[in-house]
Amino acid sequence: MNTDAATIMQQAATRGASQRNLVRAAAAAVRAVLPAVKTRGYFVRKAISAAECWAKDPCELNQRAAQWAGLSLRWRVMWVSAGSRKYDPRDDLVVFAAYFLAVSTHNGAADMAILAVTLANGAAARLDVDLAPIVTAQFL
Amino acid sequence: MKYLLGLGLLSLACGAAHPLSTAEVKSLPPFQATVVAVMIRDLHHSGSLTIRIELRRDDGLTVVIEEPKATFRQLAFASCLRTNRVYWWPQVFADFARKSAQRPQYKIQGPLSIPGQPSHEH
Repeated sequence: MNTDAATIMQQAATRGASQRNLVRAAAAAVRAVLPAVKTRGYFVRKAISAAECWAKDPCELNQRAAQWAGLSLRWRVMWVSAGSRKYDPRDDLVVFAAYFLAVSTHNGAADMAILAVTLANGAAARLDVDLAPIVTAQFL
Repeated sequence: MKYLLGLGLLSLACGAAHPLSTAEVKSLPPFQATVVAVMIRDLHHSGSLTIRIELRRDDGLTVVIEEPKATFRQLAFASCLRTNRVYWWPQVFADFARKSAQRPQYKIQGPLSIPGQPSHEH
């Protein structure tokens, strides 16, 4: 597994990067692995968009939009969590990444953004995509 | 008080850096804590995870739980503890809702369990 992107996120967090920055980087990472999604792509895209909006302007309205986007993915996450194979299991990584991305807009939950990138990284390995430069670009 | 964080997530470290064996963890006296971070230490190609959860005990000590071969289910539940959003299991929700007066941080109190998984009782 390519762990570079997750490591970059971790290092950025250690250096004191803002949560907005981390969320923006995570959104870019999840967007990059979007082609891996076969089901629930619409909701994943909504979660990414909502997180990007929150990163631009972390007002309450945008936070609620992100929360709703997370809610739409929550059922899918719950199904997977319960061991269901209702959906294509290959999507799990991206869907979970998008879910944690939405959750990362929760105040003080910057570690969730790192979690999202870690999972997106797992999907990126299957797509043969390197997330490291994508994430790094968000911190420049 | 009993502590959950069981959920199969128990095998832990105490004091920020030092992993303890599962037996040692189980021998710890019950404590109250707040989840401060959830991380994935390793993501295997097979889809299994190594989850790391950092807790801050009410007495100020930091406790780190590391669970190799964790599942997405455990990860999802850990994130619930982290962000004060509990929507998975009714009994968990009820218990947490009752005790989450200090939102957005949790007092993790038990016994809690996920259906089908035994809770760890001390």
